[in-house]
Amino acid sequence: MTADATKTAGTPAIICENVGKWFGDFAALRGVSCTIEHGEVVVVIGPSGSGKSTFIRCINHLENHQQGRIVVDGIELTNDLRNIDAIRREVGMVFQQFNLFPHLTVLGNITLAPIWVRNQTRTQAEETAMSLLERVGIPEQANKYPGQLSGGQQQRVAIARALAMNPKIMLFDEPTSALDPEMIKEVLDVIKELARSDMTTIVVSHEMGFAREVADRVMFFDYGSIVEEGTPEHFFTNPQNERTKLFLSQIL
Amino acid sequence: MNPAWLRKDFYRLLEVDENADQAAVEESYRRLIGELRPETSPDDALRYSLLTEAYSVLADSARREEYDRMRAADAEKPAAYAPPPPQAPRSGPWRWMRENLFDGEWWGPIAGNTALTLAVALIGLNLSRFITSYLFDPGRKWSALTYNMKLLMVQAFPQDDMIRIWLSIGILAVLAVWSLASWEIGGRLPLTTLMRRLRFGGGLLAVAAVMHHGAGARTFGLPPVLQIDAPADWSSPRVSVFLVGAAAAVGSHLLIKLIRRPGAAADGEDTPERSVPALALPVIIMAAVSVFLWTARLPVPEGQFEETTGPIAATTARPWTILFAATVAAYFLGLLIQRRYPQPLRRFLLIAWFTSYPVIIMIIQRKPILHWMDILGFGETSFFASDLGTVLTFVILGGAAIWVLALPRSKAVVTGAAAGIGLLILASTFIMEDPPAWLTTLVPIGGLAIDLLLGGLIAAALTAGAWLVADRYESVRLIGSVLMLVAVMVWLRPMPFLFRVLTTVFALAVLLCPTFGGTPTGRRNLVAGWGIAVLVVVSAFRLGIAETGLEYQSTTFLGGFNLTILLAFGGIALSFPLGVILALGRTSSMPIFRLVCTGYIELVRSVPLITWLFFGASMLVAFLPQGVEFDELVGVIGALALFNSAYLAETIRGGLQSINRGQYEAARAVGLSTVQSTSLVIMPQALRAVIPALVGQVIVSFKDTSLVAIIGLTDVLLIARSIIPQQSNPSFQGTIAQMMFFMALFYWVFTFAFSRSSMRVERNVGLGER
Ligand SMILES: Nc1ncnc2c1ncn2[C@@H]1O[C@H](COP(=O)(O)OP(=O)(O)O)[C@@H](O)[C@H]1O
Ligand SMILES: [Mg+2]
Repeated sequence: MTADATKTAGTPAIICENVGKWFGDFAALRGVSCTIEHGEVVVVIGPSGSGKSTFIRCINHLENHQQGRIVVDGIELTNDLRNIDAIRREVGMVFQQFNLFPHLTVLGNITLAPIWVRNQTRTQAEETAMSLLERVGIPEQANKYPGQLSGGQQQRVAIARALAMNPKIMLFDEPTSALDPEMIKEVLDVIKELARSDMTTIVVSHEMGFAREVADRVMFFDYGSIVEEGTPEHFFTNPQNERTKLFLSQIL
Repeated sequence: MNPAWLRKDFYRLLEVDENADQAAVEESYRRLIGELRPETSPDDALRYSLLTEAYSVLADSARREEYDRMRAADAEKPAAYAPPPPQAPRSGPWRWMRENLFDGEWWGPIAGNTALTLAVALIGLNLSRFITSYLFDPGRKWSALTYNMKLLMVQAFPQDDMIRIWLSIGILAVLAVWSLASWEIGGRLPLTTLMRRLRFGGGLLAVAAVMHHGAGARTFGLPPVLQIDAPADWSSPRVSVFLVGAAAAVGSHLLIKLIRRPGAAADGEDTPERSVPALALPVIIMAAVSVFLWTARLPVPEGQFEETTGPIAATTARPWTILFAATVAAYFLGLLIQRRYPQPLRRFLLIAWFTSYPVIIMIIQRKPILHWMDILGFGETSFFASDLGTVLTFVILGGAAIWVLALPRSKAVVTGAAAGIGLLILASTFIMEDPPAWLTTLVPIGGLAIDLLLGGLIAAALTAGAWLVADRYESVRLIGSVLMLVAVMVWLRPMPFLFRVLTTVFALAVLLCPTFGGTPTGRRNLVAGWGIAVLVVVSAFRLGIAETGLEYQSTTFLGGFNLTILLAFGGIALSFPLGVILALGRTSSMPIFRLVCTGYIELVRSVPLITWLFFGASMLVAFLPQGVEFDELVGVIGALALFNSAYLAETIRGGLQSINRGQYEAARAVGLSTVQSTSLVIMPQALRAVIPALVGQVIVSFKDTSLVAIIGLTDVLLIARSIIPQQSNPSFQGTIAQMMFFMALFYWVFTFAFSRSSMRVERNVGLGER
């Protein structure tokens, strides 16, 4: 931990410079630039289709950008597979639709990558997995299959699965939008606890209370670029941009 | 005030105690609700409404007070307010029959249902009567079957060599049983279920044995469909069948009564039901066969036998018994070892399964089984032309090159490796045969000079290219591309076939280095993969190619069930990995790979299997390079595998397309490589999704092996259809109907056993989908 800290002390966790991404002729990202420091918690908001998901998927190269530069933890993202693998090991991601592996138990889901990518032994990986399940509050579900869990429990397993690789950066793409109202809180609590630890966190979310509570910074996306960013106070009390104001008035 | 409240204990429902404050009630309610999924599970929906009702009462202080008062008043009453849960109605066989076979909502459906039941029963009864009266007809010549069992099994396989067949069967049986023990497949069967099946089967057998139709039936004044035959001759086989069936039915019925006697049921409420391992059944059957073979005296048919083939019992009793003992021993040994060392053993078993097939072909076909001179390289064969020499050279030199190139430490190292490979290529030109005529006429200098020139050019290109390219990974890619060119060239120039294939594989491996090397594990896997590939290629060629100079048993000796199983097993087992690769190729994003796989699948599917069989058996030789010649059997197995793989690929592709894209992304996001994501996450789900279709495919492939009769191989069906009924012995002539009856039973037993076991697999793996 200290070695890592000194190694990456000077560089920010994520640097994006003029990032552009097209789907065919459609420009999903139009010159996004930002810098995210280690330990920072960033909440990304914006209307549907504005490119939020595309942006965070570019950060762990699930989409490849066609213009600009993305540097994650000092490693530049190119098409070189070694860089991509190195970065995916540093970056955990949680999806809106959970995407748990239905053919594996909860424990199997969490230990798969540590065993195959980090070459841990099964017992070692299972120990870590149990302590992570403890942390997200569902140790008793370890031997069930994802299909036997509620949405909130599944999303917490997904978080534990991402954490099992011991990432430095966590990406959340609308982690609570597919959940029933009474389960949102249990998932947000886990994310809050993570954000308060030293984890660099980017969350795409429309939970404004959550954003106000944990975010160091809020970014507002529209038409594939960052229209406005600032502290939560700034954002919710005194937004400058017209589109931001309109958007906030619609969801608040 | 609601009296229904009294029947529910709201405090217990919400898991709070009676003096919990509002906050605790609220918190507990949220927590419990959070675990429910009322929209998908009816149980949860019910619990959801109960919890909400409980919460609505306890959260409202006025209503809670009222509820508490009611409870207090009620507690003073002596009677418990919760009546005991009603006993679940016991459904006996009579009740089941009435409800399912003769019941309906009003007289119309009742009459219809009853009529249908009676009609089906009558049809079934008469069908079984047809079958049994056919079976027991004195005109049937069943000795044609028992006396030709060996023919059906192995055709004309030399009697002296039968040990090879038994050895092969033994290997397969022991492996199968050991695997069953190792994976603890099969589980346990409740004793009552077993007995119930026995009772049903025995009863059916007994009824079938006495139902008769035709001459000799006693009418007892009954209509023809219900006539019964009272046996006139107490020694007829029919009586024994009846007695066995009846004994089984009565015995198992009594046993069921014994197990379930009221006393046992009362105190046995939570003791688990008595059960036996499901494998006990096949073991009992095998034991019965062994005993039968030792004791049975089959009737000798009219006509004479010059050869002492004798009825099957005479020659097979000993091997069967040994086989039986070996499998039972293997099962218990497997269990024992499994308890001790769980993981490594399973891996060993998997490897054993993969190697068993070539080993068995070798045991059955090879003559002599091993040719040490060609394998180890002494005497006439030079060491480098022997199997061992080839394997060692390629594994060590190629492995070293891949080891260096997979994780290139520096440019100098890569350049050094390139120079080394170049020098080897140059050196190899000295030991090659002369270059072809077209090359010498094109470039009019001496034969060796051309090769040297070409080799030198290649070596120079490799070294210079590796040195000049800036990025060391890119220079590895360049080396791979140059080697690919070399690999194309070796196919244009006469040289041993094995070298061509191995050079091509090597070029491919180097090309993969920059992509899959990367990490130390990746490098280790690449080198290991290379070693295995060399071994597989060499052994496949030594097994399959006549060029090696090793003799084969003539294929005409091999036939019957032996051949059918060999073809089915090989055709199906080989087609699975191929099918998976083709399916992945067809859905891959690499255009050339996709094109090749799609083209292959469409081409193979557009031509009938028979055509491919002809191709594999006789025409393949015309397409192969000079001097390379496959054994006919290998060609046919290859044709079957290639044909099956195209169909399997399409089925598996269906499974792949049913997998959500998010699965792949999630696998990639946790850091799994492409290969790992595919093999650990995508493929298992895709295969699970299409198990029923795959099973259908396998059954079709199994039955399709009977088509090989057309190209002159004598499979079991051909023997039954035309060889046995045409034998000179009069007791065997014209028995085609009996034979077909037996063949139907034969194919049915195999396909049914397979589909049952696949159903079990489906049930086991289906768990994740719930
Ligand atoms: N794989 C894709 N192919 C084509 N268009 C896409 C793809 N993924 C996203 N898009 C388009 O890019 C835009 C941005 O999408 P996204 O980043 O998912 O938005 P958000 O997450 O903000 O709702 C949308 O208009 C969407 O239709
Ligand atoms: Mg989105």
